[in-house]
Amino acid sequence: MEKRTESEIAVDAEQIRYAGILRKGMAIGFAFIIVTFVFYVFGVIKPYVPLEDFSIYCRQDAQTYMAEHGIGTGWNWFHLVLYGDFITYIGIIIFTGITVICYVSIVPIFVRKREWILAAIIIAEVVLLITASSGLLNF
Amino acid sequence: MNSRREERSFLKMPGRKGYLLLLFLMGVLFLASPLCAEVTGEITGAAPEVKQPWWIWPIILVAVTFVMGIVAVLAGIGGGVLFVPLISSFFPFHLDFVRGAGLLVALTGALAAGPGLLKMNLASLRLAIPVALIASASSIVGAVIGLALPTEIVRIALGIAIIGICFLMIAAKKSEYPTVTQRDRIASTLRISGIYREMSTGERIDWKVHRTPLGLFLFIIIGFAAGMFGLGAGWANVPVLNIVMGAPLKISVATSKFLLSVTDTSAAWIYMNEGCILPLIAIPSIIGIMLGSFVGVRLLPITKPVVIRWIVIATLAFAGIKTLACGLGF
Repeated sequence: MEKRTESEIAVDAEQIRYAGILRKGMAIGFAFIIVTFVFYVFGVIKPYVPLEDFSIYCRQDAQTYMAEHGIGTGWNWFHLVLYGDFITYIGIIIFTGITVICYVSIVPIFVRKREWILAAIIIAEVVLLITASSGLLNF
Repeated sequence: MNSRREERSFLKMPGRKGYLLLLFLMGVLFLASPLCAEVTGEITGAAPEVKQPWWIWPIILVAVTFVMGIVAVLAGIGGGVLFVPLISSFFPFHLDFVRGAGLLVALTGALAAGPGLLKMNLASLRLAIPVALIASASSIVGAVIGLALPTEIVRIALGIAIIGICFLMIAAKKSEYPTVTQRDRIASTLRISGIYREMSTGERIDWKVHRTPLGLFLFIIIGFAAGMFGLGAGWANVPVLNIVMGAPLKISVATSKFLLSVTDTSAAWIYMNEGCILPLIAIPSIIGIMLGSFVGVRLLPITKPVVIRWIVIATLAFAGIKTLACGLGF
């Protein structure tokens, strides 16, 4: 480990870009999740599954909960997105989707630096995350 | 001399505020237990239609996770590792929903911390990118298997894992600046190294890593456990990055935190696609943990983290034993 006492330490361009997008995405996602959750619990937007039933369905397994309420797996919830309980998913999608956007944004930087292996790993990660989000990996 | 001082500080009181926080957490969990039992009919033997008003759950969750967020910061661990064992032990929610919420709790904490850590050059993208690919692939496998297995089996495995985490928290060593004489081939090819400024001394510290293949192999196991149980994996990431791969402690802690934003994302998609995210559980927990973390950071200078860490280990061990017993049908 080498210790030196010099002045400025340059942060890599990819870290700066990643951090900037992540900060914005996090702020948007958090704002969205709070607002939609408030609308949901205060009944401003009608829920698909009644709030009063929460104490019953919260102890069922996810499969039973989905089947009993006819929600369906994968992205089937999207046709219910105008209901209070499912509109909150948009904020969660922002949280789970922001990493893909950050990763894609730094690929050109690594390509410009001719760091092909890191660029390839990033692309592989993006493919993996998109595949996971598609529902193809769920049984 | 140092160990003697540490031993003495362990015996000291954690401070009035620290005790009050822990008492509050215990109190809320204690109050929540009969509510849970009533809903599940464990104590009253009541029919399933006996239920608490729905609004009580988000309120209790915000309160509990708020304290959890404070305690997690003071104990130097992630909120995710506390969330799943405690909420699954003391609340009536099905393990599917607790694991889904646990992943989101760990994920949002990592997303919130990520930008600052990257800009300070403490979290290293070069170190995180290859590790994240391995860990997120295995976390997907863990999540798929964890959701396919019967709940009792997952509870037993979770109980064992939590008890294992307690031992790891007790035994894991830390090294501020591990000695790395030479980078291995993978680390050289990917140029995994960096520089950061040590704020306390103003020094520039150049770092590099070694034993990358072993580190990557261990991240397969870590990712699998994180996905299967919905736990944040900072408890395992840090020792592997620090002790095995030789990254400085600050780089290890920051990169581990950032890493969760990638690995937990992949597992979170699997849970989300299976309907394991209930907004009434996940969102109050996210809010509570985040608010608690902000307060925890402010309380850090006036509390005794060593004692709080031991109390957290004891609480986790209790939750682990309870989860294991529950899985075994006791």
